[in-house]
Amino acid sequence: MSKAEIWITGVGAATPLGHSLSAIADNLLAGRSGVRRVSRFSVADHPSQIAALVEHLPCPPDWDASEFSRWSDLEQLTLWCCSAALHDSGLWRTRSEMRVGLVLGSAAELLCLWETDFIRGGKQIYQARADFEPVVARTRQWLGISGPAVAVSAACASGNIALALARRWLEMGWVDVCLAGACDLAVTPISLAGFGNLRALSRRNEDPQAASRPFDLDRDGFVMGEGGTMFVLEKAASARKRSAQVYARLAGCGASSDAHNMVIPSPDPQPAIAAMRQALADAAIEPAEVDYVNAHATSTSVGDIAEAQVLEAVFADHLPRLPVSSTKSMTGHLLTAAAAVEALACLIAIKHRAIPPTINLHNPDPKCPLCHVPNQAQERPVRVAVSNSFGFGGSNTCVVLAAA
Amino acid sequence: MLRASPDQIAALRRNPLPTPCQPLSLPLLKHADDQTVIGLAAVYQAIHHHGLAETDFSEWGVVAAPSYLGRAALAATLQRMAVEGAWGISPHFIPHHSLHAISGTISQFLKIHGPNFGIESTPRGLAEGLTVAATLLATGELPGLWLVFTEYEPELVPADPSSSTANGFAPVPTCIALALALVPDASLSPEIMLRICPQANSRSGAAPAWAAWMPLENVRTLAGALAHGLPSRHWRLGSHGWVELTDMDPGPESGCE
Repeated sequence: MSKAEIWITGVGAATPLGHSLSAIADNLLAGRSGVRRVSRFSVADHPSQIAALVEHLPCPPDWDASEFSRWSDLEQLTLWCCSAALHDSGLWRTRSEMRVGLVLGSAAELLCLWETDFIRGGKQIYQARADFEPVVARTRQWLGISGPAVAVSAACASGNIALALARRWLEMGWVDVCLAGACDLAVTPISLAGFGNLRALSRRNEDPQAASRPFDLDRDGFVMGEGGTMFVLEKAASARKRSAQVYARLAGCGASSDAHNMVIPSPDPQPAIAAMRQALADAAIEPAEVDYVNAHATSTSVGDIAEAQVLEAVFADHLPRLPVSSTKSMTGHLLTAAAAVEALACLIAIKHRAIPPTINLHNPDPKCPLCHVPNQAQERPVRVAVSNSFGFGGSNTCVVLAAA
Repeated sequence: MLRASPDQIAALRRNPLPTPCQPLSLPLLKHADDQTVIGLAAVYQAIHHHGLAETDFSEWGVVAAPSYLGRAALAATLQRMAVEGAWGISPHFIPHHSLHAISGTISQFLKIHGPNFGIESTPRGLAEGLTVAATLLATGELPGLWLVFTEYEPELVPADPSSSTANGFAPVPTCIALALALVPDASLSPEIMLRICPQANSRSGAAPAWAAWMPLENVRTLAGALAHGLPSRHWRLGSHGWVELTDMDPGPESGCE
């Protein structure tokens, strides 16, 4: 198996900060928060009543709007992101002439579907689903693509797992092009209540836009978010041949497991350190060459400190000069889709030569002694960006994205 | 492979080991989904019955492909939400009934530090699981991989408490789990039951996806084939030929075994 250079040549996204790359970039670099009070359902008795939601998802071009409106919310989101990514890459019209694969991070499709249906008075959860076709299969069919398709979940690390698998399929020659990323619409009454009762969520309900504050001493939990991002990946050689635009090279991927607890990060930082070192070694990039880290940092007391320790071990002397930010301060925590959206934030940093900030960072936690990018974007060239994503089940993942 | 009734799963939740001599931290399974319990028990059974007790799994990976994971728990949770509101929702529901739950629990019990993740939770996960396993093992970076399939037979459909229609005559679903220990190199394996070979010559333009893998329509048929020998030389997963399963005869392009 050859280790070919893999490029990202297309992006499609729908996030609380917008549904186009330019809108998302503008909002991220301006330090705008997408967090609001939840109005989609009653949150009166929820401990946390805020989230970063996707509003008014448009119908993709070339699609029948009335047909699109009949699909489930997750189907619409996934199709929008995939369709936009293929259009952006310039491969929309030729997609059926090549083997296009699909790796979708998706953690709880059926749970969300059943819950939403139940709330609307439906009974699907009590009906046999032998003929059920998951969104990844239907998206593949709707797009008319012919490569393998699989949905994966490593909880909040799913998007990085999807990128790693897609890269491998390209290297193995199983596909010519691969769509990879993650979509999640997890802001539902049960998940908001479940995470709230886990005491994982911020209860700063009176000030939603200040609630997500990674690395800040006054943080009190994460804010749920929703949305998705899909990327088009292809070999550099084929992208060059068709003079494709390129956002970045997917240079390295790493993954490990804590094997400690389903929810709580391991007190031993070694597994997460191993994932980061694996990704850097895979990319053949030294820690000192990294220009920016998009941290997983969710704004929980335990998790942010644990990640700071990991970064200290991996980057050592380089850490005081290495900008680190958490874009969850603006997007909220998109759970299954978080890693994909944060990989997009890295592409934006590379493209715009500017590092998105951690907003609401006014009183940095001394236990997180990092080179923060507080409240305002920093203009500086970014050649290599690293994105961490960790998840329930003890998953640790890291991707390295480099300017092509 | 393991098959268990609800009563048997309750017993496995107390002790998922095939022998009662090894103590485990059982509270870890208190909130686990039934498919997690039987998936973990199937892994322990495979270790016990196939001479793997001395194997170091610390750098292995885990991929689990459940079917309709969390359905019964969600049905109960929805009812509870209707009565008690948000405060009635268990904080354990999401961590233990989302798609990563089985692989994460297995990695925790076996102290596995390689990657762990779940595959789409429908019966179609069988083909996807094998495809992903072949992908992960192709580079030889992982020394091994646990690939775990779980499902109910027949499909577990929670009873609708608001319905007057009794379903007392419906068969009680049993939960099935198949745990496969896969390694990238046959020379490391004491026994070979299955070979997964990526195919290099697949091209687009073939029949619709997944049309050709019907012989492997559920976990039981795959387990039966492994137990009694593959009925044909090649089983092709997906009409594009991304992955094929073969019997013991090594093909020109060996994959993981």
